[in-house]
Amino acid sequence: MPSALWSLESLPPVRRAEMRGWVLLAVGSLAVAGTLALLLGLSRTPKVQDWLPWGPHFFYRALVTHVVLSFEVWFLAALGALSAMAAPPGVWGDRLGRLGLVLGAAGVVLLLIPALADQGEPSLNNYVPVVGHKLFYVGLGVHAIGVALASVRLLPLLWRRPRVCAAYGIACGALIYLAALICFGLAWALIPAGTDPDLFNERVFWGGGHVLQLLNTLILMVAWQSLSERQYGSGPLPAALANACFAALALFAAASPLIYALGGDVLGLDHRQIFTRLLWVGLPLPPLVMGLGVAWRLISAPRDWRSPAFLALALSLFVFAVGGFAGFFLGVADTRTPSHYHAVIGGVQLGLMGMVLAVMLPLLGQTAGQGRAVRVQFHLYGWGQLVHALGFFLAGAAGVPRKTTGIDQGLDTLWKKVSMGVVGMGTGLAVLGGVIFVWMALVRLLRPTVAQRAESGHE
Amino acid sequence: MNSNARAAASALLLATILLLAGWLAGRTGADILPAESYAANPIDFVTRTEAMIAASQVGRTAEGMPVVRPPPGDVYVRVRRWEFSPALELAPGQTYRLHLLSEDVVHSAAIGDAEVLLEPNTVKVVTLKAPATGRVRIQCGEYCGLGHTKMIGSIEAVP
Repeated sequence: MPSALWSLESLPPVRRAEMRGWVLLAVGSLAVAGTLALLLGLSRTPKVQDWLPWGPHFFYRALVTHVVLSFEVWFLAALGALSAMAAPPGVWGDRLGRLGLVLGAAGVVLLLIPALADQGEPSLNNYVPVVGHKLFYVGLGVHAIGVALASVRLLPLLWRRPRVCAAYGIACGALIYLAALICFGLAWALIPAGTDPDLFNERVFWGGGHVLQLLNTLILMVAWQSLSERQYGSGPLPAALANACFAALALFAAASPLIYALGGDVLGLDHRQIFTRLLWVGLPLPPLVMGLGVAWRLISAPRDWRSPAFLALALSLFVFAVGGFAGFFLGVADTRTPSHYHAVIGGVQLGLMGMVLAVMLPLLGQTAGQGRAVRVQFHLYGWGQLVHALGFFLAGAAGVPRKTTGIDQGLDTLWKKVSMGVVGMGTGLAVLGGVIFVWMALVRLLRPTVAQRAESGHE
Repeated sequence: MNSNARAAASALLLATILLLAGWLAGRTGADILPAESYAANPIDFVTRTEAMIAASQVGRTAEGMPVVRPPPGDVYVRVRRWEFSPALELAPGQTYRLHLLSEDVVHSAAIGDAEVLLEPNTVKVVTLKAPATGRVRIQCGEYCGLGHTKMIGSIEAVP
């Protein structure tokens, strides 16, 4: 199966329009998540908080919505965009994609309402935190169905032989996503009525939430494949091995719904722990194999530090690898856990940012160029995430509990205070990098294409 | 090169299938704390706990909870959003049987690297040997609300 580059000509205009919509939804969600993060900060600022029209629970509602937009919607809308690139041509595929996009966007609008209207009990459960309000759940469901519609059209690629190697990876991503949805649905059906809402939210999103981590990893691997093709003209591994890496993650996801039959009571401890072990057993090998291929490429081929594709490859590999390594030293509930997942997810974010700037924008007739802003963005975000993760790791090793703020953090030693200061410094750098990325991507997504500007005489 | 790539791909898929089979079959519960359980009336349990506190308190509090130093043997701990009560001071090297009862929703007690789920109305009894010195970390490992991450108990070995 030959590996081939994505090209502007390979995407018909209808698919380009759909892809642009998904990328706008993904990057727009990051922009809204960033605004919410700003409001979060203001809601904790003395004096300023008195001027805000929201109650004391706004912090948690905004936190939940921020996480869902920057963690779930960003990745799932990215999967939508990837599906528009990879799906086999056809009228039905186009219709499913358009309908999926409309539902995906409508769902995001709905789930924003409870936070802004200061309604519903926030729940900081794992993976998909929620605001306990009907509109939030409906929004989440509508968005999920939208992405599912876009994903379904990719399934035939699993048994066909797509020309572009990454297309097979994206089809595996669609399968993983659908498996996660089945897990959510099974959990919802199996949890007894009348279960405490906190426990309900935790367990309904537990299994599928773990499966979504396989999807995030696969998105990174698709980004590595595509960025390597963009930078070096071929993927980091021979196509057969790359496809085996994609398939290996998909196999684990496809088997995951069986746990609802084999893994005991959905509210039991066995059930919870078997999904934890999914990430230990099923996740490391495929990105390790592909990561080694990327590392070999980076070492053996010329290094172009001005190229967005090269920067995204190098930094995403480094940050992801550091985060993965930190995963072997987790505490029970201290900040070493966020240290691990911030670095791992930071690696995925860097890969996806590279995918947007170096692969998707050119497919839409835009270019991010090789200017200073692009380089600074990758460095700020990448090194910022590393510093952030390092601070969390040091603080966690000293016993600072996760998901706490202010006095609850118990910063009673200089070591803890310095560590959390390092976290803040890393956050600042990463936020700057994120803001530059969102700005660059949105400006290019909203302006006329290079060809249109040339036609109208602006270039 | 092509045949090498195919061989590597086959090896990777074979390894994945073996790992997958191991995962699906591996429901050993190695991280689950061994525990006995019995049904209990919460009012009786609170009475027993209060009696233990009255008999063994050392006159101090830790984070608002009375500190008790019970004799080796049965120790009663009330569990609720978001506390384990009372705070315990244990004699190094001695063995204790912690009776844990959740009074409101499902919690868990993660002690060291293992964990036991605590459902309302069912007491879980776990055996704990106090270390020579220092703290034994006990905290809730099952999400139970906004204060979940602060739900950390106090058990300390004091000579």
